[in-house]
Formats: sequence, structure tokens, C-alpha cells
Amino acid sequence: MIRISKILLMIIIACYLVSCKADPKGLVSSSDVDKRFADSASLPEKSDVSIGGEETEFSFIVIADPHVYHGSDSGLTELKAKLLQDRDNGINDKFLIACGDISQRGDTEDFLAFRDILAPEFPVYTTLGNHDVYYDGWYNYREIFGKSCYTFKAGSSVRFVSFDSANGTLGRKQKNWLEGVLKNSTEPLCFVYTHFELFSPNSTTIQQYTDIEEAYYLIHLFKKTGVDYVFMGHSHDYYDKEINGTHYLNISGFTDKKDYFRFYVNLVNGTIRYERKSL
Amino acid sequence: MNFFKARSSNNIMILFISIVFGTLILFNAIPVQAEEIPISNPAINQQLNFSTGFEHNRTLGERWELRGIYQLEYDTHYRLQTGLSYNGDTGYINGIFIELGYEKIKDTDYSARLKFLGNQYAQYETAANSIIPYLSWDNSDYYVDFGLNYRFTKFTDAGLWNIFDYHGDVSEVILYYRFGWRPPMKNDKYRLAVEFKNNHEFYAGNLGAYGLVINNYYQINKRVKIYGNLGLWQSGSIALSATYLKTTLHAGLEVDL
Repeated sequence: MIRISKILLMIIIACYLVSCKADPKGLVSSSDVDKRFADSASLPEKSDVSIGGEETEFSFIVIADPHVYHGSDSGLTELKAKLLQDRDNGINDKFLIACGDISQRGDTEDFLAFRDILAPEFPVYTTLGNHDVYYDGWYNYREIFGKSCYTFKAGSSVRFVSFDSANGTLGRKQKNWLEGVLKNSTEPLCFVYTHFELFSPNSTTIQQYTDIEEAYYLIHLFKKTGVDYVFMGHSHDYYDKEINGTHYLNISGFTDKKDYFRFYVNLVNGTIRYERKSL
Repeated sequence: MNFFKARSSNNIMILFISIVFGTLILFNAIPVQAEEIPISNPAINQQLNFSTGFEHNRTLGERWELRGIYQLEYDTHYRLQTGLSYNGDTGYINGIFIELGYEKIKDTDYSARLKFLGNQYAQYETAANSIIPYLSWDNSDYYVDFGLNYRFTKFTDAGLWNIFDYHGDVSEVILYYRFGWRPPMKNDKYRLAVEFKNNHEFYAGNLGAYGLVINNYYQINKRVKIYGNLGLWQSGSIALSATYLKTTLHAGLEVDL
């Protein structure tokens, strides 16, 4: 029996190792954060969102973890219909942010499905999730969504920054870039979004950002640079935790909870409010 | 209101853990049968451990550290361990722990331990204090630690150095694990151990922060041994999308007092 078990185990290991998508270090082949940062340098910058001079308030949508997979749009078509209906009723969402795990396993058809369902009515700003980089999904992602980390402005007073946490670590180059962007930001309001949650106050969750020291570095950086909101995903749980003036909002998983969050930004008095909605 | 609620909830949890582990230790400590045992001084073993280390973290850079650990073992069953780690890069203490253990429960390979760990990141005005109840199994060839890390993190510099402060901004529960193997060696003076774990004496990481660590020991004489270890640590989502995070190197001296 033991001998049969050993033979079976050796066959399984051999099959795994000869698979072209295997990576003994990470079980499934995925790219490295430094490589993605270097690749991003040659990709086009994200365009700013124009806010009309007469507009005093604008809104945008945030979702996380849609996990689009081979024909299943995870309810995105329904979301678009809902948002278009709201638009008819006077709510003009300028764009949509997706906090990673756009696809289940990094396939081109799933990234395309996500983009094509929502565009062109709703420009999408995405960030990479761990699922998006599985099976070298980065190479598919960058063709469709572009940079792994970037920044853009909405109007003249709101800064948005996305950083790549798909491997649960920043890498030195991305850390320096993020520090530079946040320290040089002059806009009074700032939103940051990424995939991995920096901590998990829900006791059932065990999927925090990997390196605790790096997470503490980030939380300290966000405090020093006056970030207003940090959007995260990954665990599919919802929570809103305020630490030193920054709201850490974990966006519930769209694939299972069908939640979406609408943010209203008042450009006159600089206030931010949001509502959590469900399909 | 929520503040008091949170305080109360933390206190209840700490009390619960203390009672469960206290009961477990006492239950196993009390002899099942009353026997006439000759009165003798129970054996007391003490050990000191000093080491220096280097860490290369791909994001946060390099640092070196100094560590000291003291261990007191009483009657082969009771163990107290305490240690302090100094971060040579920042100039701050970065880890303190106190660990209580009941070893070899009913003379088996199992032990129950309770660890109080404080990690101070003064450079980020952050302190993370943990209570870690865990079970250990060691049959000399293989060993496993498995428990829960109740971590309380505070993102202000108030009370930074109190490692028993559990009123943080964030409370988390994380699996604490270590799997080790000691391959047989021809020379008794040498010992090698290979470990897969998400923690070490001064650190209890998240689930995905796991490392492969190789430990080497050489017994110089009956009381002194030197050791060195090399660790490669990963980052990612429970193995998938994992990538290199950091390398750790430590070398030290262990003395039986």
C-alpha cells in the first residue's frame, strides 16, 4: 500500500513538473511584480477623467473580484443594465474601478468579456489580482488593460492611484514609485486601490497581504500622505475600517455577493460619501 | 461605546485562552495516581542563545539584527522561554517574546505552548502584539507546530512597547504553523533540519508568508553548540502566485548553563 502511494505521488509530481504552466516555487506559473513594473514603463499612461466646470459632484462605481470565467460574466451584464437605468434617472457615474481578480485564471477571453460588457459606456480602471496573473495572465492583462500600476486624476482635485499587489508584495521599484506619487500629489482628495487587503479584521479571513511589515509601511505611508480611501478586495468580505483618518474599505466579492459601491465626491466642500448596493 | 465593547471582547478572549491552556497544562501536570515518589530535586536546565542575523527583503531592503534567548526547563515538563531581538538598521527593539510550555504531555511527543509575542515597528509607529496558543509534536525525526495567532495591531506610537496591550486598531486570527524534518546524519555532532513555516522566534507571519529554512547545528562540546540557518521566504496567495519575498541568514551560539 505504501509502495503504491509512493508511486502515485511520484506520478503526480512528475505530471506537475512536466506541465508547461507549472512553477515549483508558486505551484502555478505567475509573473513577478518587478517584471510587471518594468513592462508597465513602456505602456501608455491612463487618461484623466474630465469633470465639467459646472459640475459640483460626480460619482463612480467600485467593485472587486468579479472572477469572469469562460462564458460566465458573473452578473456584469446585469450591473451595466442597472447603471444605465440609474443614468437615465440622473446619476451619472463617470467610470468604474475593479479591485482585481477580474478573471478566474488570467485568460484573454475573460479580460475581454469584462471590458467589452462595460465599455464604452463605463470606462474601466482595473488593478491586478492574484487570479489575473495565474498561468502568466499578466501578458494577457497588459494587452487589454495596460499598466500594472498607474495614477490618474478626476477633475483637478481628485487623485486616484492603483498599485500592483497580485504577489502580495510591492517590490522595491514599485515601492519607490508609489512613495513618489503620493508624496508629490497636490490634489486635496486621494483614493488608492489595490487587490490584497492589508489586514483582515474578520476572524474567518486568513488572506491578508503577505508581509506584515510591508503592510505596516503602507498604512504609515497612507497616513503621512493623507490618503482618504484605500479600496481592497481578495477576501470577498466587506468592511470599512478607519485608521488615522484613512478609510480602508474592503469591497465584497462581486462574483458571489453581487455588491457594488457608488462613491459621491463633492468638489465644492471636498466630502466623500458612498453607498453599498446589491444587484 | 464600541471602544468599551472591543475592550471587553478582547479581555474575554484572552481570559478564555488563558483558562483553556491553563486547564490543559494543569490537567496534564497533575499525577493521575497518588504514588510514593522519592523526594529529589527536580532537574533544572537553563540555556542561553545568542545570534546575529541578516535579512534581505526585496521591498524594504536590508537589515541586520542581534538576538538573545533564555530558556528555563524544569522537571523536563515545564519550559519558559523569553527573548529579545534588536534591529540594527532602525536602532529599535523589533521583537520580544515570552513563551510558556508544558512539554511531553503524559510522556508523549506532544507539547502545549502559549506564546506572547510583541513586534514593534517604531519606524512606522506600529506595534503588533500576539497571543499564540499552539500544539507541538516532535518525534526527533519530524516535528510539527500548529496553532492560532491572535494578533492585535495598533497604528499609533502610544503604548508601543507594551507587549501585553491588546486594544489595537485591528484584531486578526491567523494560522501558525511549522513542519520540520531532521535527516539522519552519520556524525552525531552535526545536525541538520529543514523547516517549512510562517514564523520564527520573533515573528509570526500571515498565512501566505511562508519560508523554507535550513538549520545546521554543530556540537562543540557537551554544553556548547554553534548553529547557522538560511531561510528563503515567499510572498503570495497561499502558494498560488507566490514569488520571492526575502532571505534570512542567522548564526549563533547556544550554551547550556
